Amino acid sequence: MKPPKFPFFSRIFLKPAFIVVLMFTLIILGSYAAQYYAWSVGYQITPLTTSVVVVDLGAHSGATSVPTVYHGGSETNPAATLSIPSGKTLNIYTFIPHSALDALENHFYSIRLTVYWKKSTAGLGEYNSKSIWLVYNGVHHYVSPEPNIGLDGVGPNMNAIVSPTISSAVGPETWYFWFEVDGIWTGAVQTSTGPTSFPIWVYAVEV
Amino acid sequence: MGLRRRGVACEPTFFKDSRKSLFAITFLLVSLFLSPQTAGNYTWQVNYTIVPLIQNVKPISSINMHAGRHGWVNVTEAYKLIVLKNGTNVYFKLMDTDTLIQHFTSLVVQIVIYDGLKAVVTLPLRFPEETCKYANLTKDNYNVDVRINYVAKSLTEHVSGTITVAIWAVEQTLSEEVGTYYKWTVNYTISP
Repeated sequence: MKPPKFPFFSRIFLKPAFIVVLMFTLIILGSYAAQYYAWSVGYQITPLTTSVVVVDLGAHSGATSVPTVYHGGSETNPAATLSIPSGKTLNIYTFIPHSALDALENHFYSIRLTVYWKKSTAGLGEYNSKSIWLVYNGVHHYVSPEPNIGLDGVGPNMNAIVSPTISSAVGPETWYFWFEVDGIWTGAVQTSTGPTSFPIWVYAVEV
Repeated sequence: MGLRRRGVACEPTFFKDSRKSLFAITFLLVSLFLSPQTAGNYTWQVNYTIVPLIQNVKPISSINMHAGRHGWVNVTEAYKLIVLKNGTNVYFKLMDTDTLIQHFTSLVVQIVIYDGLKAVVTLPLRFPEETCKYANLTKDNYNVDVRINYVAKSLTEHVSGTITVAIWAVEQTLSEEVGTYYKWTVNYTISP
């Protein structure tokens, strides 16, 4: 014996999916119709730097000592400008990720990176600098960043150059950054590396 | 395509298919893990290219020598030398000379550098004093021949060893400081 047929609308209304869609629609419509208070969260994000610094070391033979110093900008022509918002104190971090260091160890016997920075209002020669051997005597140089925050999930084995705290208590400030690569002794590579590169990551953490 | 016919109506079955569900979950997890690494930093970049200094190294079988005798070995086109910068000083150094002195009365390893058919420079390496020499070369690809002249010592038993020449370069300046280098080697045995 055939079960009795329900009318068309009864069959539709009994579907659970239809009931869910209906309730969701009512909630949305209801929120428009009702009175409510509005809070707003204002924010402003200023680019830390707008400069994309690219330095070309060129092509070199393997197992070759290179006395040339390669410049990514200079004191009078800085490579990057970092903007510090008013009333903020920032730690600026520049570092080479672990994966890039592994490649550098295969390609270089030695290579050193020096980062320079100064306030835009500072006089000539009033700058700070920090050097780090990325690879020295065939071994890459790990330094864990201090503190290891700012980039979740990157892991502890990173080569970091930690700049001192830069603060802007009164108004927005501009700082200049530039860097050098020297102390290059290429590795005794067996095959050409081809054109390749390593990154220097830059980020800041508010104190 | 993710829809299963059931009577008249169709309903989505994407997440009922376990393989597709697994793919979707994996995709979401990978996206979550990757996003923190790609976000939140500015990147500066340092470009470079490194080309092997020596290439096409010819394989050499072990050299058999006789004690108390003089002999020579000529290895033509032992390897190619790739110089990328004008004024590059390429160094050649005879290594492990302490062992060589025990096996040879005299040993001269001549490095002959050719530009095409023309010999540019010949560098004789001999112990104990002239073990390291250099050639100032312009940007080019060179062929290198190695000629070995030896007088083996009057040994009473079989000995074997390796003649090793270290090769490295310095751009623009002179420095005999040995860091990393390529090795050109040839094995030998001396019979009484």
